[in-house]
Parts: sequence; structure tokens; C-alpha cells
Amino acid sequence: MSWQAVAEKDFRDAIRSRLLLALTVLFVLFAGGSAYFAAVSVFIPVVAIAAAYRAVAGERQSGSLKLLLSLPNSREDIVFGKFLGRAGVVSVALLVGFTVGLFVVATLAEEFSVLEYLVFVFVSLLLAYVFVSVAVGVSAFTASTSRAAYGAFGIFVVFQFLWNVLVAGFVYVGNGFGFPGPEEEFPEWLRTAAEFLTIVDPTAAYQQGVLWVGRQLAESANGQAQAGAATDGPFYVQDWFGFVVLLFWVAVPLLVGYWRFQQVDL
Amino acid sequence: MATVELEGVIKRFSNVTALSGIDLTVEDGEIFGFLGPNGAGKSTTINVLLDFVRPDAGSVRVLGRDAREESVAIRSRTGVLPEGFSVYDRLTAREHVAFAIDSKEASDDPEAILQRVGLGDAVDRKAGGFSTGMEQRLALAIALVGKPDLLILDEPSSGLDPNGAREFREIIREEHDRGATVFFSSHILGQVESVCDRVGILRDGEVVAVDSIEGLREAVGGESTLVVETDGLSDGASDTVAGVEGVSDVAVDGTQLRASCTDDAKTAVLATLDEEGVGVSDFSTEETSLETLFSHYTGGGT
Repeated sequence: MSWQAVAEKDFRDAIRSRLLLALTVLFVLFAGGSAYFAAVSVFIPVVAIAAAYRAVAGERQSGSLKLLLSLPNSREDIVFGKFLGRAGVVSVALLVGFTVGLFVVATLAEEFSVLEYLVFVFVSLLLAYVFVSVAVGVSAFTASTSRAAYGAFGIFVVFQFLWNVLVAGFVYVGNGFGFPGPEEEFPEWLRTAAEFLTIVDPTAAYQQGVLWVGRQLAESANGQAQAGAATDGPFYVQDWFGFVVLLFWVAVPLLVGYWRFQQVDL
Repeated sequence: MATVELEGVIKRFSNVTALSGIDLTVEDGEIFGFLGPNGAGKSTTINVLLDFVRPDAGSVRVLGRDAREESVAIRSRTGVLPEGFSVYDRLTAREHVAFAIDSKEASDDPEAILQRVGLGDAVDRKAGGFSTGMEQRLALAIALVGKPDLLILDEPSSGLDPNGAREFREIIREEHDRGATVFFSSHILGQVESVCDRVGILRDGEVVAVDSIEGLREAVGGESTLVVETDGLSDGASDTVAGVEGVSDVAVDGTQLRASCTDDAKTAVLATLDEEGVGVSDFSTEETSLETLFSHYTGGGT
């Protein structure tokens, strides 16, 4: 199984990168300083992309890909091995950061659940893997590292900052180039589509995932369902669906990148 | 049985034709030299063998397998020293070789292989600090992992000093003696000459000649080169020499005249120079070099 060899080599190589060291330190400061949520959810994708965007394109540009492919590694081994290697590296960086964060939060917070924190770390790793997949996928798709960087960060910016605007634009167009007035209702199909589009954004899905975790923990503590939780409505607005979305985004960018990579001349 | 079989292989890059119908057979156990000027398609041919590049037409079989469909199986029995590769700066020489051993599921000892290519004292150094020659040695070490049936070496001696090139030739011979087939490209002709059983010459994406070194020499007509040191040459004198019967080519470098000619024509060349009033201070004869053959086939003469 040579994807394992590729993953192991890649992990050894990438973990020694100075950039990664810098990002880990930065993340430690972030996680320690602001702990929880908002800032962390923006910073995780940045760490993931920075650690992974060169994965394939960098080797292609430098020529070390020729060494990699002269050995009995298939192109599949390279894309998926690279994903695993970089996911491993990002895991190390985040776990170091979160461990420091754990001590900070445990010291400062009055009420603190270690379990809640651990599950939060787990969901955060999932978000990181989404963007490792995006970065490795784009990296396999293109021959240049600069395009790999623009592509991956571009996708991140769209999801993180522009998605709601795009969904609003979609609603505006779908509603016949106008927002409904105060008394008007959206057409049913448009409301459904907008809800669905909102949740397929992995950064929104991450927040859903965190909500789900919080609710599960609160319910098991109280022994009863919490009011106001998103358990009603169609499946895609329920908070557990966030995990489905995250897993979807771990798989799809890699597959698209691989689809392209396996057919090009190198 | 043939180790490498290319039939009618065509490859175009956008509107440039890199390979315009390559037919080539490398037999089991031979050392095959692949020669051609830059841009002739040597590396593209090698890239097709390794499935780095997919041909537009033609069939490519390596070790009896289809190069496209069974590339991984081919590469598990092949050692490759690619052209224009680079190493992993942050990994040591040992880690490079260990990775190759893992990928090939071989059982070699990294240290022994590195010793063999002359990197015995750099085993645990990071490859980022290596010279071009050391990188080349490291790539050869990787190629040797798993005792491959076929060695594909693309310009193996680039970046090596003469001593290193000699060591590489020795390793190539050892691998050949072990039973491996060796396919290597080069533009350093003396090395090809001294190590190859057969040579293929590539020009503009086509194989223009395949033969043994002796066979090629005969094909060109058993010429050798007469090198004459003169006191000073006029254009007229060299033109007249070029007109002497038996002279195929004349090159002038300062006061030195080089004439490719049959053995019989040598005296006539010297006599002609004398008649033209050119003073001759010294002369010598060089045996036909592959260089001359090369020029003959690739049209890259004077």
C-alpha cells in the first residue's frame, strides 16, 4: 500500500517546514487567547490551507514529483497520501494549539467541561480536514503553486465571507429581482433552496456541528431535550446535518483534484 | 524478448510535435544509449515509458506490460533517474532511500545503497544542502532500490565531475552484469560509447538510427578526423580542402583545421594546404568519435 509510504514521507517532510512552525505558534496564541469559536473558526482554515496548498503543485513545480512518480506510486496514492500526510501535520499543529488553549480555558473559566472541549476539538479537526482537502484538491488540479494558493484561499474567502451574500443574491434573483416586502412571503421553493444553500457552506456546517455537540452534551446533563434546538423542520436544517456537509467537503475537493490530476501530462 | 517496445508513438504538445512516430526496441539485458540534441524528444520518450506523459497515438510496452494501464507494475520493477528532478530539502539521504524502499516494498539497506553511490558519509545529512552531483547520486541510489529489471537513466551524468561519471559507468556495468536492462539518454557521447551495446539516435521526434557503435561507424564510412595546426588559414584554403576528394566535412577553429575524411585523403589534404601556401606546424588524426556520427545523423555538422 504505497499511499501509506507517500503519507508518511509527506508528513515527515511537511512537519519540518518553518511555515508550519510559525502557524502553530500563531494558532497557540489564538487558541490560548480567544479560545472557543469565532476567531478559531476563521483561523483553522487558514492553517489548513497554508500547510497544504503546496502539497502536489509544489512538488510538480520543483520536480520532486518526478522522483515520487518514478517509484511505484500511482497518482491516486499521491493525492490521497498527500491528503493524509498534510491532515496529520495540521492535526499536530491544532492539537498543540488546543492543548495550550485547554489550560488557559480551564484556568480562566468558571464552568468548564473537558468533554465539551474535546468534542469541540474534534469538530474543529473536521473543519481543518475540509480545508486540507480543498487545498490538496486545488493543488492537484493546477501546475503552479501560486494558482494553488489563490484557488484554495479564494474558496475559503467565498465560504467564509461571501457565501451569505451569494445566497442573498440568489434569493434576490430567484424572487424576480427583488426582496419581498415586510408582509410578503418567500415562495416555498426559494426558502427551501436558500436554507439548503446556507447549510452547504462548510463554515456554517461547522457551526451547526458545534451546536449539535453542545445540545447533545446539555441534553445528557439535563436528561431532557432543550427548547429552541434545531430539531424540527427538514433534515438539512437540523444541526447533525452539519457533519454530513463537512464529510461531503472532505471528499469532494480531493476527488475533483484527483480526477484532473490522473489525466494530465506532467 | 524486448524490455522496451515503442511502436508509432506520437505526442503533440498544443501545436508542437514532440514525438512524430517513435519506433524503438530495447532487448532484455542490453545497455541501450539514447542520443539526441536537446529538444529531440529524449525526455518525452522516457516520460511516455513512465506514464508521466500520455501519447496521442502508438503503443508503448515496458517489461511486457502496457505503459498506460500497468504503470505501477512497471515502475515496481524499474529504477528511474529522472531528468530535471529535485530532492526533498528537509529529508535526509537515508529518508529518501527509505521512502523508495517502502514504496517498492523492497528490503534493501539504505546505508549500503548510499555507500555504493558514494554518499556513505552523507547518509544522515539533509538533502537540502547537497550539490547537484550529490543530488544526482542520491537519485541513482533511489533508482537502484529493489534490484530493478530495468534502469531508466535520463542524462545520468549531468552535474557530475569526470570521476563521478566514471563511478556511474561502473555501476551501470555492474547492474548490467546482474542482468538488468539499462536504457539511458545522454548527450555526453564518450560515455555512451564506452558503456553501450547499442545506440539509438533521435532527431526531431524520430529515431533516425539504431545500431551498435561499430555498426554506426561503418555506416558513416570509416572516416576519421585529421586535425591540422597551421600558421594561419584563409577562407579560400579551407574551401579548397573541402573540395578534395574523400573529404566530407571541414571545420576551422582559429588556426586549427579539422577535416573529416577517409584515410586515403589525408595526404591529399596536407598537400593541398601546402599548395595554398598554408604553413603546417603540426597534425594528428582522431578516430571517428560518436560526435561525428551524431552530427552526421542529426545534421548538426559544421
